[in-house]
Amino acid sequence: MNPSNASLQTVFQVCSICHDQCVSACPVTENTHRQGAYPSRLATLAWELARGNLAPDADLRNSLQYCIHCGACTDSCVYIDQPVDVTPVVRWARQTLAEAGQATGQMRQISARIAQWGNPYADLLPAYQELMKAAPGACLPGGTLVLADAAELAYAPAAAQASLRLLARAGYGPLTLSEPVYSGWELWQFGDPRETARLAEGIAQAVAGCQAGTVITLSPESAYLLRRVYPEELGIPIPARVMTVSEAVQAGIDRLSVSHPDPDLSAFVVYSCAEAFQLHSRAAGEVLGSLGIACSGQQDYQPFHRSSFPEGLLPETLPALDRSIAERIVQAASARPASSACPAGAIVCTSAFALKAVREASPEIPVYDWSSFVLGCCTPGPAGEKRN
Amino acid sequence: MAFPQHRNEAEILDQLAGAVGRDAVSAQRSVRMAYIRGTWPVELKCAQLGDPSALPALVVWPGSAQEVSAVVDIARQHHFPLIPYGGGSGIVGGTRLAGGIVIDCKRLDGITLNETNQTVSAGSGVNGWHLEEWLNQRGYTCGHFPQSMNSACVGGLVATASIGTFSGRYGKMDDLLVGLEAVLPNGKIFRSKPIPRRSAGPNLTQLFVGSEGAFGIITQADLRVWPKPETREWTVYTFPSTSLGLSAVRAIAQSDGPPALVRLYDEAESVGRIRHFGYPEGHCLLILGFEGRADTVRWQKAQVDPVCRLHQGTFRGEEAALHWFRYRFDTSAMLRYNQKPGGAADALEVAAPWDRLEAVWRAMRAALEPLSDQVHCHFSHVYPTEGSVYVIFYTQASEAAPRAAIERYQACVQAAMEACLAEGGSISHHHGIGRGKQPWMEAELGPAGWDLLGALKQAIDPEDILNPGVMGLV
Repeated sequence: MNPSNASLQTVFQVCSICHDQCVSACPVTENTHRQGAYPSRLATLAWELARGNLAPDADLRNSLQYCIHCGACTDSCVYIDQPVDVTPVVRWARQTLAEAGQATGQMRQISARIAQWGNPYADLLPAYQELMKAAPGACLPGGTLVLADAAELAYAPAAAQASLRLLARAGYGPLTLSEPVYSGWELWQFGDPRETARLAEGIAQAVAGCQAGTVITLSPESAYLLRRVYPEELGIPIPARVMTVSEAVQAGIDRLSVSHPDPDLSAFVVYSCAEAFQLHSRAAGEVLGSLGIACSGQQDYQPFHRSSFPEGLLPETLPALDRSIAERIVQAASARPASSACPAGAIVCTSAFALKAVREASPEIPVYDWSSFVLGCCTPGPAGEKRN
Repeated sequence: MAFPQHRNEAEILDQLAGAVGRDAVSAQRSVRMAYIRGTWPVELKCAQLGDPSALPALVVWPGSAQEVSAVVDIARQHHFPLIPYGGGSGIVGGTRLAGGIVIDCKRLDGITLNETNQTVSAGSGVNGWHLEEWLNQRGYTCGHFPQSMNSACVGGLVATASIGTFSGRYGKMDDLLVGLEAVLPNGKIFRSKPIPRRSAGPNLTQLFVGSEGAFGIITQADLRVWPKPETREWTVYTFPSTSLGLSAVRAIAQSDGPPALVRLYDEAESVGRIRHFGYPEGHCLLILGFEGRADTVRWQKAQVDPVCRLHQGTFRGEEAALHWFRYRFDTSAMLRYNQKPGGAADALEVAAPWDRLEAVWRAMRAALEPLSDQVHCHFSHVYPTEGSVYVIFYTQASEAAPRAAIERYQACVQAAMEACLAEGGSISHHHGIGRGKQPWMEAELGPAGWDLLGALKQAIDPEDILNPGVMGLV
């Protein structure tokens, strides 16, 4: 990407000269207390790099790691009718630094793991073999392809299995399960668009080969990549309708019936940033509402960095970010909401990253993945399971 | 690393690291660049230029008043200037100082609610929006909604004597503040009792309201809170002229139980809204907002209606008010002007007693119109004795260059400030003085007042280490 590209120039100039109305929404600023995490300041650093006023050194590289691409700033941008997305200039700067020999240790680690496993998280074969048992369907033209996302397989294999059962209950079937897939979430945001495009092309070819009419991604982050980033930024369209699990279940809500044992049960929903800010999808909470489960509150962003990269290769202020966000989520869920006499009975996470981090931070309130929670609240049937 | 070489930086860096921890101090250029600006248009133009002249030397993030005190002691020992920094939302250049130590207060983020006293104690680094959210979750509101509340921090809101859009009900920062904690230039930690009404000498808590970091580094503020209001309602009126609208607003401000929010747009600023909502061309628009118990709000609305009608006002429902509420934080029109290489825009907020307010408005408009593409004015924050007027100007230098825009901007501010002073107004109602309005500070206070302020600064900060130069104090 060329820094003189008109769209990058616009972001440089608009975000660098701003009144910062977005920062109250920025989870990184809130949790790191760093002025340098302001979207406007990241844009300024990228602009100064583009103008040659800053060298592509380790100092700059570390300062540019703050953005987690959650989309919260765009969602609350001062340009209400034409919100600006600062992340393209952050990605450009990170890519420029990597090409100048300043790739972070994190990026090197991601690359090494992808070479080893095909994804940055773990060896997924055992989890995938288990998941295949829940999706016996064959590939049918116009059918539904479920993307076996690496993050879900690595961190929430039970949630992946619950998602397949829930989708079957909501009328999707026979389901076709893809090979384990890494859609490139970290590669994309940390500045490797070429490798991300290679992954995107692989997914697009798989979808085309399967002639699927619908693709359901187990990970909300993948839904955002497939629906928006691949076609709009990388020029690689996915030839099928792409949905998150919760959106798919919402579309089949009439097939679900409820028998949750506790009529006073309320849930605190932790959305993935990709759903809340980038896809503007609230299907997870809306499904719960349709099932008669009160939402006591919600959090629109989730911890995920440290969950993905336990070696702590991010700048020194960021390893604490996940813990801080997870603790805030638990605090918010534990608070008595103005509309209710009780705090939430459960914290329900839509992404594997959140599930892992929030579980570690919540010794009191039970934490569920969204699919297992919904399944547990539905009338048990042949494919159902009780909420534990 | 670009680092000023005229001081013993390495030694200072080590001492600061000892005081606040190695992770809480930085000399990295890319880190310091985050503090190169607030939101003063001159700073925005410098950012546009890539001008690094306001780069601080060091940044520290203390986590307690004791750590702030230790930082102050080190700075004093080395005669190194300190700049307290919150959210960077200041619009008058109050934190612009090259080569100093920035004390970023954002780690001072504790919040404690006292439901008996209906007060909240908030660290000076607490973001204004987060404070309000935190209170709302517990059934309370601070009622302080400045346009900057998404980025401003509590310390800055106190230090600039800020005000929120619903000030008619909840008051100004000086009304909200019941006590505070601040680190003085001698390193001592001042803690005032959270008892705002006392007859025990001058009110030292209020000394820090509007002090802009010149007298101490605010580390905590105790603020009034209210139970969340039962209802929020709106009414809109139009008037055939600004003069008639202003007379109505004065009558409302001097009546029993004025509304929480009063915004009267002059004819020129009303044009867009008048067209959008299909009201009569040439009229001006008044938005009134009410908060509180439903029966109180009903009574307040009943009180203002005959007052508006008496001054030829026409009731227009609530649609224009809801539109304003949706876009109340939208400053994009000014930002778009500032993005132009030769463009600049700013909102100047001044105050005047009722018998001078209309004259101040007319004089400032007249002064700015020849220099500007557009001038918009509205009146808000009204009291029984006075009111404030916002004068928003959009100007364009003849040369499409940021330096030319700065010169043009400064010419506009000069014309506006001189007009305001000549008609008996005050040069700032709630943005502060910073470095943008300091040339007119002596005229604002008068010779004796200016000497008194200087003497206070000299007595409190004899070595001039706290934000030197702010408000023109040296």
